[in-house]
Amino acid sequence: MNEVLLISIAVNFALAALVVFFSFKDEHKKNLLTNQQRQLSRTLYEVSILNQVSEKIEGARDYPSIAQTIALTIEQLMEVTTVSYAIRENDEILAKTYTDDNVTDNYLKQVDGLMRDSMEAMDSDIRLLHVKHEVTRSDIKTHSSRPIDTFAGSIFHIPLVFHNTYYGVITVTNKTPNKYVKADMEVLYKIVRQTERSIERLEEVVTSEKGKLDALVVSLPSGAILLSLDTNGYLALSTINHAACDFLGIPPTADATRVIASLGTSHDFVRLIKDVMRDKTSMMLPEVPIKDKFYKIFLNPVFGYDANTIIGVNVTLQDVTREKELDQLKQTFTSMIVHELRAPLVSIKGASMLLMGNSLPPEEEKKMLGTIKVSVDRMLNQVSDLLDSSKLEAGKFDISLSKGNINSVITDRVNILNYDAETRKVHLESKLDPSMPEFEFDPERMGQVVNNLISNALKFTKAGGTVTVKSCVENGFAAISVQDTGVGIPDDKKALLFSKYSQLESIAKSKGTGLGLYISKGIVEAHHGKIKLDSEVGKGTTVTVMIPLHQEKKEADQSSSASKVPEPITIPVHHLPGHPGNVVVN
Amino acid sequence: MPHLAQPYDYNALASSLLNKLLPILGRDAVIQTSYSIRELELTTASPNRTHRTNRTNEVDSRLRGNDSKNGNYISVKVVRGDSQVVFDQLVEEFRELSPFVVEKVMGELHEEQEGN
Repeated sequence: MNEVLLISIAVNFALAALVVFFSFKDEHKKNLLTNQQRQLSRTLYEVSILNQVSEKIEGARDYPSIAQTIALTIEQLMEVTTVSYAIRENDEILAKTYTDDNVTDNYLKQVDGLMRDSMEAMDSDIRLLHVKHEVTRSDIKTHSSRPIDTFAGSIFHIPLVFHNTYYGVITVTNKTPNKYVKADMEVLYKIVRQTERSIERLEEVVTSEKGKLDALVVSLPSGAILLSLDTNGYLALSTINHAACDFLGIPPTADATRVIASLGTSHDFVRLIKDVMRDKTSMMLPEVPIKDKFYKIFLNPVFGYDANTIIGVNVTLQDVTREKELDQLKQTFTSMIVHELRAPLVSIKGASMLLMGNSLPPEEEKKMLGTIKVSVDRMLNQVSDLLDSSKLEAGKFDISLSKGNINSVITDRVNILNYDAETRKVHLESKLDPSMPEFEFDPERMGQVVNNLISNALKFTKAGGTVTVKSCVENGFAAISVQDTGVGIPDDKKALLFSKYSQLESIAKSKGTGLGLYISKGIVEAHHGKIKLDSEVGKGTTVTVMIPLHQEKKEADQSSSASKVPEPITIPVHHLPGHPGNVVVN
Repeated sequence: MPHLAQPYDYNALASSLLNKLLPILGRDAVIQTSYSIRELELTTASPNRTHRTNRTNEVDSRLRGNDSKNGNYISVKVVRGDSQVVFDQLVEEFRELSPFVVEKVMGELHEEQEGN
């Protein structure tokens, strides 16, 4: 019986032990799950708070705003009597406390003192700064029916550090002692540190992007100026590139006033900038004279990150002096062509009327017919020049290659022009290399080139001067040069000399379309050759044509060579992309 | 972070650390963080006697009672384990809260120790 009892007791003990064991195991499992649940909740809580903070801060980079956002987030997360921030901004401390009507001034004074102590412990210089402390009441519900005029029961400070620099503090107080447990505070410190890191990353991105943009702006051939509004609402110079400094003749250290003044007096730029900022529209000034040049100026509003706030004005300058010169040349060219075509027509009309009168003696009739022929030839030449230039532009300029002696082409032209040279009392001579081999070229077109070059040289050489035509072999090229002792060409005119509308003033006064050099260049390039110019004012000019002695391709290449003739100079038309509301002033 | 070389009185160092952190981080941050380390015993110091306590509100009330401009508020004693290890643990706890502040305070402690 005893044995049975003992066994029964032992079994019961064993069962009880098992129950205890499993219940402990269950308890352990339950604790584990509870802990995991708590950990998960806490992580979700942190994530949600961080999301809230980052959404509120968005792209803001001013530290008082960030501190304010964090402070207000804390106020929503935990029960506080006051939540405050104090942050160093320039030479003062901006402080703000959120609380409600029950908190007395004594309590707030205590909070103010605590914040100062915290900041001064971090940076002793802070004690010298002026503190601007603002109190916003009723944002917080302290749930107290009586005035709170006691010592703060619970206090903690969260220092604000950006880029390894101490900026200020967030202070949380509660009238009740031991209100906050370590976990609560840890979460808040974590939030602030995450925020600090986010701001730092944002600033790194902004700095890096700004660096890229600055590099881009600096390298722009156009002048670029960025005028930004400072904190007082005044325009300050943020960026100016080298081109703008060169155009305006100012150093990069110039201030906004000097930059605006250097834009000249043709427009009231202060008013225009104000208009752009007020109307939030771009503006374009097509031709602004600054110093001895002309600029197209764009004024564009610069928007802040919210795409609505104007933070400044961007001024872009494009040098349009050359375009303006070309425009002028085009106008002169058109007038000149009309005049040139009209003059022989007047002669033809006069001669025809005299002939129609049947009252002229035969010698006079012959003279009139001669006048008509000369006028018609002149018109034909001019029309041919115009046709050639059109073909060059259209890429349809053909040459017909055949093997020949370039020296004989030169000699023919020199002989023809000798009469003109004698009339001008200019000595025309030729020094031709007798060893010049025969090679493939278009004799008619090359004759045209030689004719143009000699004619030009004669026009620019005063009586008593000399024009020398030379030929020689140079590195696989036939070099044909025409040298004069004429007036020479100024450097600023050289670039335009071979363009379609180029015509030096003295040529404009003489007969001709002025297309000679443009067509000559086209003919030479159709031969895969080069044309170069050396000139010095007062000493003379040498134009040298280099034609390869061996054309790489023959017939098949002739038409394609025409497409390689120089591109006509195009006048760029500038638009402001993405700014349909551009206003053209003038 | 400047390293503190042996031998040091880590109880004194921990006390200095907490008293430097006290105005910067505030009472609750310092006391609650210190209490998370069981090997530490926190006491408040006064000219005549030492109050030994492990209850925050008692330390807190004594802190309030003291004049903040005179002497230390808090004394710390390592009651278990290696004092240096416990001190390092304390530093790490605060570093979790604000690495910048701990860096600054440890720098000051280091300078003071060098000065001594």
